[in-house]
Amino acid sequence: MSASAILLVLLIAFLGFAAIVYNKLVAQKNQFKNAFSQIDVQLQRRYELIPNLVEVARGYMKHENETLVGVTEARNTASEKAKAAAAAPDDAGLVGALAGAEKSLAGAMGRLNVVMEAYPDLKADQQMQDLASELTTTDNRVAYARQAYSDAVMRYNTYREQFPANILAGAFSFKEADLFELEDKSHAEPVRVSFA
Amino acid sequence: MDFFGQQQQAKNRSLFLLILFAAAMLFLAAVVNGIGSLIGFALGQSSSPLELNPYALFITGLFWFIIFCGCFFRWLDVRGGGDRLAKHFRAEQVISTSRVRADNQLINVVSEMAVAASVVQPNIWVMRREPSVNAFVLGSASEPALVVTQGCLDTLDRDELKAVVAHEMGHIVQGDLQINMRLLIVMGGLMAITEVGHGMGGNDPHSENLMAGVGKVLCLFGGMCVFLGTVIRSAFSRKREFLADASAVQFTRNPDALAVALHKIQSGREDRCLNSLFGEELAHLCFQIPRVRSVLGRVLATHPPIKDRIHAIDPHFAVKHRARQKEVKKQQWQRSQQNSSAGARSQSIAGTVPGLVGADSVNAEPSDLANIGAVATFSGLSERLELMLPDAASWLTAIFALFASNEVAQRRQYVNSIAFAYDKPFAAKVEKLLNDIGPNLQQEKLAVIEHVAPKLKTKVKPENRMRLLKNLEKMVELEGESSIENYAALQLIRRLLDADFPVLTQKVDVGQNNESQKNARQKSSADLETKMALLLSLMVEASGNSPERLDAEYSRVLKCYTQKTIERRSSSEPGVLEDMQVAFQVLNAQPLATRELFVNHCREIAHADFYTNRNEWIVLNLFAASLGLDDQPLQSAA
Repeated sequence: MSASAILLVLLIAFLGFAAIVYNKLVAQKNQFKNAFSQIDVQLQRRYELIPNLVEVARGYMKHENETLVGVTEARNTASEKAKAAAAAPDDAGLVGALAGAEKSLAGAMGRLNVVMEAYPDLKADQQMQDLASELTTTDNRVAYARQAYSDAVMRYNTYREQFPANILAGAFSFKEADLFELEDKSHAEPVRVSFA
Repeated sequence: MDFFGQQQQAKNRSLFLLILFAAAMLFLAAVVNGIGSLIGFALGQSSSPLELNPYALFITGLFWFIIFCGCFFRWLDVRGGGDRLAKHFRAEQVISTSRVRADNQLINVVSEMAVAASVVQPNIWVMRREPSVNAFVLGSASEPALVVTQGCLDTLDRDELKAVVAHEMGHIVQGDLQINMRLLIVMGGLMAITEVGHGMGGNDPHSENLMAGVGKVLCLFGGMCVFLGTVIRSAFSRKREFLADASAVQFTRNPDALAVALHKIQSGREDRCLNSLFGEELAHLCFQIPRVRSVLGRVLATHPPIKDRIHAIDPHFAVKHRARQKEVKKQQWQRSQQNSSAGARSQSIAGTVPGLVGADSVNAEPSDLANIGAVATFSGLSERLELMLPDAASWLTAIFALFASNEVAQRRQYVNSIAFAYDKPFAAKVEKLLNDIGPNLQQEKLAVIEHVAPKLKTKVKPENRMRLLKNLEKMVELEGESSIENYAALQLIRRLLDADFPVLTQKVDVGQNNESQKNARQKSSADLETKMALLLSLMVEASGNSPERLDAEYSRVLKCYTQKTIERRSSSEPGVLEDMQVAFQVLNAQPLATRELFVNHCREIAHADFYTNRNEWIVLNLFAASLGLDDQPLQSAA
């Protein structure tokens, strides 16, 4: 066998190997994107629940309009930011903006809860209780979606930085993915609607 | 996730399964032909024991045909998807509009875990008649169906349930479903012979005809096939269970919950993975199988021992768990101390035993199905009792105090009769105890008896026990309150003291005994129906609903047994207790399985409103004990 034939075989083997690595990079990238869209689905679900909650609460609290409006506005902002971020999950800036909007929404919800303490009838309302348990489980789902996203991002980043994928990742500009984190740890806690 | 690797692995496993299955079939053929040839040789039809017998060849073909038919039908089921399989295994689908709290919780937990595992949200099914704690997934990864037992919902709290569900999600993510479904097909085929045998009456020891004889032979070969199936099943790695546990921890980020769930199962009394008919078929799918005692069983088990799994999750779990429990006990103890010092004693006892005082403690979770909760919190009560009743003399006084009336005049009379039967100082003691904590004690009648009676048994001689019981009985009769509750209490004392003479029998002897015993001898079905109807009406009545609802519920449950309408009876009627005893006698003549079914049905009635109140609990325990089913899991602290 001539030397050129050996070279050809080696080249084909090398290209085949590169293709496998490249495909794996793409698969992992899509996986973490999908994981992010899962967060988005759950966030949207929460954004849909909050107006209902506000409506039920409005029936009971006549004099707390300000708080309710605050919640509604924060919810609208967060909803928009989430849509923007879902379109481009590898844009760290948009994801950061979403995290900020989520933070202010959590704050508004917290104020609403404090105010609600003064309305025992509202807390006893069946519809309100249903909504509250719905909101709790949605919050859990957001947390789990975020966890699944972090896992996917970690797998992707690890693979991307390892040899030999790092060469291909550099050549085809696979960017490093960002973890979806809230800066202030106190706001990372789920919204608490308690009906003790 | 390495899909290619996993697909390759799955393919290899399927090939391996196919080879094993073929080997099993050949083994079966060899055994049948071997036996056939030997019989032929013995009868002199063939010259050498190695010559093939045409009948044996035919039978082999028949067996293979049955097995392939079994495989085929199971394959149809599997192809129909997870939901069809779940329906086949008698599960009920849980829908999101359910108003039952436990169901809603399950739905929420499953959807949370589906998100965490990034898998398709499975349809959720519950095996309502299954008290054991287990779960499994059926179907394919794109359309999975998750089946959970009712025992899971009753026993585990939210976090533990989540861990169990996460384990099943782990199986989906690992790609175990495909091979599991194929194993299911193989098991379905190998069990077909037994099923045919049963269908021909092979499981009935009394029938003597030819059909049943053939059925018995089939059952014998079927048993061998099932054993072969167990061997095949055990060849598939138990490591997958560890991996699924690891995934569960990854999804929940809560190793403790999984370990506690496993621990709860380990300390439970179940010794089969499922009580239903399908237990053997489903074993390899289940979340857990209970302790296996035989060496062979351990070698062939589908799951690693629970102890090993807990160890893999957290090597120091046992130590930590013990410490935590001590802490909880201490807190309970402190809380109950505080309550009692505030003078609110009755509430504090009510608070410590939510299952027992259900009717009073409205704030207890309605979905909390009492039994396990009651056992768990019992320890707190027994500590309190230990303090209130420190020595043998006080145990005796307590027993007598239990049956005193709350009305002043009657109580006076009761104490006087104690003074007459024993002596004045003792009567004074009883009165003092009554004045101090009487109502509390009576509220917790059964719990107090369960605490005190075993101790009395060690202290009091057998002949004195008899006297004690006779006296107690007289007292209760004097009191004129022969309620079910008192009857149950007396029965419990009798059982715990190991004294064997029936309580309150005298009345039966005088009364309708002749007739009823004749009936018992006849065992006519009509008679059995009326007896069951009586017990059912008592069971239904214990729920404490309004008469109209009781009637509706009663006619609903009665339909399960008879077409006739039998009037509902009430426990306040005179003579009901005697009739109840007769009913117990009649039912006791029935086979164990019937009694078990009946008690299980009663348990379902009690849980029909998803809440077992105190009366229901008492009646249920009484039924179970009187029908010789003492070891039912609902039996509390004993």
